[in-house]
Amino acid sequence: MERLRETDFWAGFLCMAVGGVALLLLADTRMGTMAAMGPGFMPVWLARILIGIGAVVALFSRSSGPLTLDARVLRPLVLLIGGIVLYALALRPAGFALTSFALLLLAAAAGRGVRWLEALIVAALGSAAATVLFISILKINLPVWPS
Amino acid sequence: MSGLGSLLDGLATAFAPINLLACFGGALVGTLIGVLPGLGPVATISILLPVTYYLDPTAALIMLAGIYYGAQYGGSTAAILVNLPGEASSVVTCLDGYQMARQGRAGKALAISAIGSFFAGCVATILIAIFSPPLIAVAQSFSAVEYTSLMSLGLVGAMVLARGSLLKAFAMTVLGLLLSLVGTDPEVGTRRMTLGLPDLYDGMGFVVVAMGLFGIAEILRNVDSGDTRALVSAKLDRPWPTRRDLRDAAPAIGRGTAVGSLLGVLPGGGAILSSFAAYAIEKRIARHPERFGTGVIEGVAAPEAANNAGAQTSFIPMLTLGIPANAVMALMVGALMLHGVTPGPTLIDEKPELFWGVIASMWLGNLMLLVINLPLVGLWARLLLVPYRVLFPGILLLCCIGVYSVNNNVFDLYLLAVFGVLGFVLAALDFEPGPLVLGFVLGPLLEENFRRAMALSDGDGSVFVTRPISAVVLAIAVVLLAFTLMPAVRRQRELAFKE
Amino acid sequence: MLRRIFLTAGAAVALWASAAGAEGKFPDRAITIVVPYGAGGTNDIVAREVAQKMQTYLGQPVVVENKPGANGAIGTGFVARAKADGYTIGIAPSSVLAINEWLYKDLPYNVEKDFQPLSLAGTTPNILIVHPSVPASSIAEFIALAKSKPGGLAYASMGAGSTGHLNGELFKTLTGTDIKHIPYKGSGPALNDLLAGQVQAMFDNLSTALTHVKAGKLKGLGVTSLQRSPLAPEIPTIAETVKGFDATSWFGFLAPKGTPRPIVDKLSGAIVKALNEPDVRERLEKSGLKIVANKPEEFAAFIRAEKKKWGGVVEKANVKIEQ
Repeated sequence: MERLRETDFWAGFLCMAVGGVALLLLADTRMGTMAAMGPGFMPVWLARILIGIGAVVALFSRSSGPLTLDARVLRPLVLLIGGIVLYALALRPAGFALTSFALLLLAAAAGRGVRWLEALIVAALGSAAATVLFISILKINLPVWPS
Repeated sequence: MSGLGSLLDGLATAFAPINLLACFGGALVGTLIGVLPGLGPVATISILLPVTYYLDPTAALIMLAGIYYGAQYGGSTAAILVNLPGEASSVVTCLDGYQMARQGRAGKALAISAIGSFFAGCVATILIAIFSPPLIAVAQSFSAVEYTSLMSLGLVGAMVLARGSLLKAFAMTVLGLLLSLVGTDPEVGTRRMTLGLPDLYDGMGFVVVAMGLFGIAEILRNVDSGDTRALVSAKLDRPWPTRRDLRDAAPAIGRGTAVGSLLGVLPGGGAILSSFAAYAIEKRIARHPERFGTGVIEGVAAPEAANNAGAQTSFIPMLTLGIPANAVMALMVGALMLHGVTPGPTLIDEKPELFWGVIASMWLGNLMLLVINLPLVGLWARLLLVPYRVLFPGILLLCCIGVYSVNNNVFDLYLLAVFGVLGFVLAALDFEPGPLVLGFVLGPLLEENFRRAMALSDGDGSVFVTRPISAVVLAIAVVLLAFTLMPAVRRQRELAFKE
Repeated sequence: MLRRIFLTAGAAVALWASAAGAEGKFPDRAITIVVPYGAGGTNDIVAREVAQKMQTYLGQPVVVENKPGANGAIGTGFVARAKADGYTIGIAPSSVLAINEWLYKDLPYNVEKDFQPLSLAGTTPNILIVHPSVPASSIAEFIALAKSKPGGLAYASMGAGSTGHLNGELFKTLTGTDIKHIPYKGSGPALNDLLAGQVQAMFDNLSTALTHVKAGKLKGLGVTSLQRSPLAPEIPTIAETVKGFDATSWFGFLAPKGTPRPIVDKLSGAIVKALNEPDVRERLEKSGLKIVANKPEEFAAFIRAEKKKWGGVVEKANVKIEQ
């Protein structure tokens, strides 16, 4: 067996968890037979295999050391992922231009040592350029302004 | 063979001014749009389809073909520069191409990608001219059984190309397969793992998954590392490959071309495998396989050549059988039918000028791509000198727009957020996203063919080893796996001896 | 720069306010036609031809959007849920509008309740094609062959619940034969396996199948319509041998239910006009479509009649899709 690392306990755990959730979701799906496979056949077997691999990875990991999460990771994680979610929420009601502007600004805030003036200029120029490119030239079907 | 003679006639057709213009226009638009993530050739061709009404069928098809390989090439540019794979084929280009870019060698990666693509395009054009009919005969002997075996080989290839633990790569492949089956079952319409969300009824798109796992996760990693200056800390290397680079890349380009040409002919979607297969082969035969993934030029050259060759030879089933191998080819069939031309076995006799003109224009189009792109290489490479704190919000915005534009669906943006987090978690746990993405791409094909193979054989699994082509393919998979396991076994034993 | 943006924003808001005041002008922006399949199929071709002409009549862009998936249910469900303002309309084939409701539970749309029919674009027959190695050159011989080895032959279809599937089941019921059904994802891959002889037969759209028949790569045994097709008058109809076999595929345009009547009339009128343009007619007929281009009420009545007919077929042939 290959030598596995400490994080591997959690890696194995993740595989087992995902496989378990899949099996739960597939509980009512028909398996069928080998000659006439039902919709459940492939996914159920894949989930079982995933759980199996997860178990092996977790068992052979050296220790179950705690998973340390650097607190500095949280700020960009929350801001960037939150930015995407916000973009999705605001795109239709607030229009393309303002939403793109907000996303660029929010993303810039995720970095360390934010320079606000620079971020504002980049966001303004960037959203204007994106509006011209995607709405005017490529004709993506989206409102530019709030309606 | 008369194929080459006809190809010369085709060249005459392709050099007609209107066709030259169509070819150039297609290649240019394709390149520009291909660079934008999400907006792949399918979207571009759909947008431009009305334009082709005003062209005759030959010029129309030449232009659409130009967009197709232009976008293919543009996609690699985004993959190399900012780790955004807009197409399944550019996932592999990310692995070494992006690493080269980070070391200041973006120009070389882009140039070798252009040169490799050009070479592959030239060879594939000649192959199409000479071998179309016999290749089709081979491709047609592929039934669901052979495709199942081929997909399995592809998945083994994906595990082999991972850098870390084979077991964890296996887990990622299985996870990718599992995720690809979310949605409505294609045979009987049962909904699977959709959490009751209508937006998941049709499954998750490739672009969302790839953008999340590669693009968003990469931004998170870079912002997190606190390095908000330029992405390239070292100074930019000369954009042109040195003689040594070319010497390293040349054999890889040759092998990539061969692999891509062969897989592209398969109408069941073999072209998807071409870049993965080419990379896996390079890694397998390399003297230092551990260097792959750290920015080796062969890791860019081989998949790029394979990808372009496959893109080209995938025209063979479309033009000779009327059977589209992928969504782009389906669009081309549609475009031809709009012009009253039905692609099929009679096309080559009924419309020789169209058939050979299009094939000749492929070579021409590749030349134009080289002409369009080589001057841009230096410019693109310079883009990376822009401070990262300025660059990454733009990349994030491009990801969001690209993902949205695929289906015009806001839900895909929520999925992007989910896959961004997943990509981050997987990276933290030392999982590689590459095998996951290939599993995701091949999952539906594997399921479809496996089910069909079993239905046709009444559930008799022995068909996989009794049919010769399938048996050979599976044997290759087993050998590949065994070879990959061996070094690990060897290392393990060495360690044991030391202790 | 910022100021410019704010100024433009202000101007845009003012423009929008004045536009909202001038109610009643339809259309004042782009119209989308949703095609519930990938680009390149018959639905897509018809939609693009019509869109192209419509935008010249209406003075606004008409965009074709492909939303494929789940046998057309995804895109059709999207139209069902769209705002009934005439800016989102759809095209759908017979399988979606008259067959699927008999086969699938919980479809994301209900034909009666969710749609306002606009116009039946046209009809096209399917054709029964077999691989050249199959020792049968007529419908009668094929039936005899199938009877001699029950379950030994297999036919491909474009998918479970597709017209090709229903044609096959209808054929089996009327002839008392037993032929295995192998569903594919669309006509292309099914045709590929038929050409290679992995399956023996298939009911496919006439237009795509015909080039292979003419090239001698497949044998065309019979068309599914009551009359022979002008595209291939030498091929008999299945009904000439199997009494009562009548199965024509068709394609029509729909708007969401509740779309205001004047808008319905305007859209329907534009579609009919587009379909009757000589160049459109010629191109579509060459690809096997018989243009109908009728009025909303006529199309609605047609859908009801077809739905009843296919309900009967599904019941009689006992077609079930085990989910």
